Amino acid sequence: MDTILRINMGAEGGPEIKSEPLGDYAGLGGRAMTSTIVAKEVPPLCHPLGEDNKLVIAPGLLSGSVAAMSGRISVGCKSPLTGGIKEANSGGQPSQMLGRLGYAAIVLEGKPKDDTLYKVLINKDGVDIKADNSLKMLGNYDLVDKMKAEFGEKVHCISIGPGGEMKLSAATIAFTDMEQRPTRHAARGGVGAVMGSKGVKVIVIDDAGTSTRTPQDPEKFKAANKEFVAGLKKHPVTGEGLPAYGTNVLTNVVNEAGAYPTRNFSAGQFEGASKIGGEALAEMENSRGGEGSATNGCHKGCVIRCSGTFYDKNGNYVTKQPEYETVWANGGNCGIDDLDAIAQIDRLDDDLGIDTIEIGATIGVAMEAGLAKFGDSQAAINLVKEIGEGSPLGRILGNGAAATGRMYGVERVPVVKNQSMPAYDPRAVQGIGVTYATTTMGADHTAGYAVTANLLGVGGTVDSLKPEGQVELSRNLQIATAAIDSTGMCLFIAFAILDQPETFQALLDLLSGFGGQNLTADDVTALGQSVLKTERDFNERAGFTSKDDRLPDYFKKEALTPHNVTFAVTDEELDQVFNF
Amino acid sequence: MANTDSSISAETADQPPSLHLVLRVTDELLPLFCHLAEQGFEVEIQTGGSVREVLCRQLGIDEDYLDQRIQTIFLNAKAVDDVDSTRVDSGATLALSGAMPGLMGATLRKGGFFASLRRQISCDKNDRPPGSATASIIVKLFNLVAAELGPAFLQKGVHIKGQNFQEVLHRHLDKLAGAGASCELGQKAITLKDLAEVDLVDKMIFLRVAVKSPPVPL
Ligand code: SF4
Repeated sequence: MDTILRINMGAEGGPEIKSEPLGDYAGLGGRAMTSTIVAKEVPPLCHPLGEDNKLVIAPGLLSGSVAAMSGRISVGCKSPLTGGIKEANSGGQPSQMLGRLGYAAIVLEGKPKDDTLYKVLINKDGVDIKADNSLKMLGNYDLVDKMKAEFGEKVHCISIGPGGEMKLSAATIAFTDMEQRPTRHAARGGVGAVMGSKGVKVIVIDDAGTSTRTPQDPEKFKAANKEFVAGLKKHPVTGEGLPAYGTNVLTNVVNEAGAYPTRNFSAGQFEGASKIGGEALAEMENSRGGEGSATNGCHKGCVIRCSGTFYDKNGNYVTKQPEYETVWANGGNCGIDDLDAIAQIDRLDDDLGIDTIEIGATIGVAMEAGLAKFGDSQAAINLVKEIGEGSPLGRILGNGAAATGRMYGVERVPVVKNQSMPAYDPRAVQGIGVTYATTTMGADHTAGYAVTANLLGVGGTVDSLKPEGQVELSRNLQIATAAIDSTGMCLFIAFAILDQPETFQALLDLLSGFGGQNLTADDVTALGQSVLKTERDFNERAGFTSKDDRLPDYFKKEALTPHNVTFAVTDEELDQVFNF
Repeated sequence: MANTDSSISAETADQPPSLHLVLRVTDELLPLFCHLAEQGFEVEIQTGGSVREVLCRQLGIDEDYLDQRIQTIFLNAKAVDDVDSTRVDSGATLALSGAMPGLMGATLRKGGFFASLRRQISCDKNDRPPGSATASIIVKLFNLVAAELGPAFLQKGVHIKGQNFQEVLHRHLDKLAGAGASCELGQKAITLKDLAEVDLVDKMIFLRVAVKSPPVPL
């Protein structure tokens, strides 16, 4: 992975392809790569859909090797949804394939002169780009079928659906999974709209004739990989809970805690939670059967396999197993307790290329505005279809919860920096609210997932029972998350490395064995800190101030049932998060 | 689970008497009913004891299982950190779960490093002197805990809402009938089809699921 591929879509005479060495970007991967390129090369005040914005797609540091869990990929740009820097990451096969092809990043830049749509082919012989307007407004599923027919059965795709072509702020970029379906998405912040603004519909990847990347210290790498996999397999979360139930196992538990945002964040418990939780979903998938039904991975090399495949009652494929956030956003948040309806929405979202979290939150706001009744699953499905049709209402909805709230005069709009909150109510779990408020990404659940602060030794040890613990922990978690995102590892490794120091050491050894350097916990911490500082600096130059690091006012005023709590972390405390 | 003399089959004072229902199924069908444990069942306990005392000494859950496998506990929707100093009173709802993924999972975990992130919904230690009485509480079992402890509770018998049972019955009627399941309502044999017609919506039932193979030891 010693090459950066740049495609200038605005070059005179049509798109111009350039491959260049890593230069200053050597040693970076995933989020560290995307955020560093964006911060250095994109003018912070540019229009996100204009010629100066760049879309950066970067595999993780170990992608393309045989390291377990190493196939996540990062997408970065200036976000059309938040107006700040964005990193959205995804599973799927393309990360491993790009790694094997030697690409550390793909950068789409410039802006085409007209609305011609392009397809890009990357294989061992190089890169080719061609105009193809027959792809216009194709859904991701039909698009992938067409690319397979044209380029062979083994190719994988990075693509946008109609959402990206319409440049909607909720538009995603799809990455095909192991079964070559477009089910994995870099979903948040409207990254698909930026790809649409570059006029690129699809990047087709064919890694035939390439081989896996070899580590610098094969013995160390092999031993560390073995230890790392053993650690993941023996931990109850990564070895049992996630494979059996997927991330949706959280539904019943978060609901029991009174932290499950229900009917557009108007209550903390949903009476239909047990009908849509991971246990019910696994039971349904197991009884319906089918290939990869209850347990499946999103890319080769995943040993946790938190995903699955959703078939309808007649055994027909519908979509991948919906994740916790998707089930929440389109389920409890809209008062819907029907897994088949939620799976249909997930399929529609994936096909249109729109973010399941943002769209679920938007439908919740639309229901509050009276466009549909809470609990009416058919109405929710119709609203998503409306987005695909590109009607005026559909375009409002497709631009997210904040836009919809403004259009319809709704006060209860659960967003930070215009991005909708995921599936935990910050009034009940206020430490997570600190992260929602202050992350550089806009309200984001993954920005606070991570390895423990004391393991990484970030910012000293924290007394978790002191009030200020919430701010310190949020800061440390954000640093650690940025570091993990930069390795390209799936964040679900967090639990095993949280609980098992030997598994954390195995991860460090894996990275060291691959790169040939001696990586310590301090190095990982320094990487996370530097990524966050880079992102924060970009946002400041884009005009963000501490006033943007706030939750909407109603979280401080409206008490959430059943605990009757409001968000009580002060602005002064929030402003401490980035003191490092 | 260890042996227990818990009175989980007793009627409760403030509920209408339960309909008694016995289902006889082959053991591979038992997990179909674990979903009921998620929605909660009533058990009768001596109040005033700690969470550990109630779960282990009254309901028979093994102490090692509580310490290692049950990673997340809620008492009346509040996260429990210390099972030895948190007391269970009359009318409580006690929910038990395995370890959960992600930051939220780490945050809700009992006594976990991230407990301060949810301190507003943490269970306070209860320092009042215990007053002991017989009372019913609701127990909910989630995920791996439901799969592992649910069968034993179901075989002993649980008080549940009739509506919850009916939903499970309707969902799996064909499968149960196909596998030769039989049932008795109030000690009288009844076909599954007829049972599916009985209106249980506003009723409490006492359900015991008997298996045709050796039972899982409590
Ligand atoms: S654990 Fe889940 S999200 Fe992570 S790599 Fe595996 S399937 Fe993908």
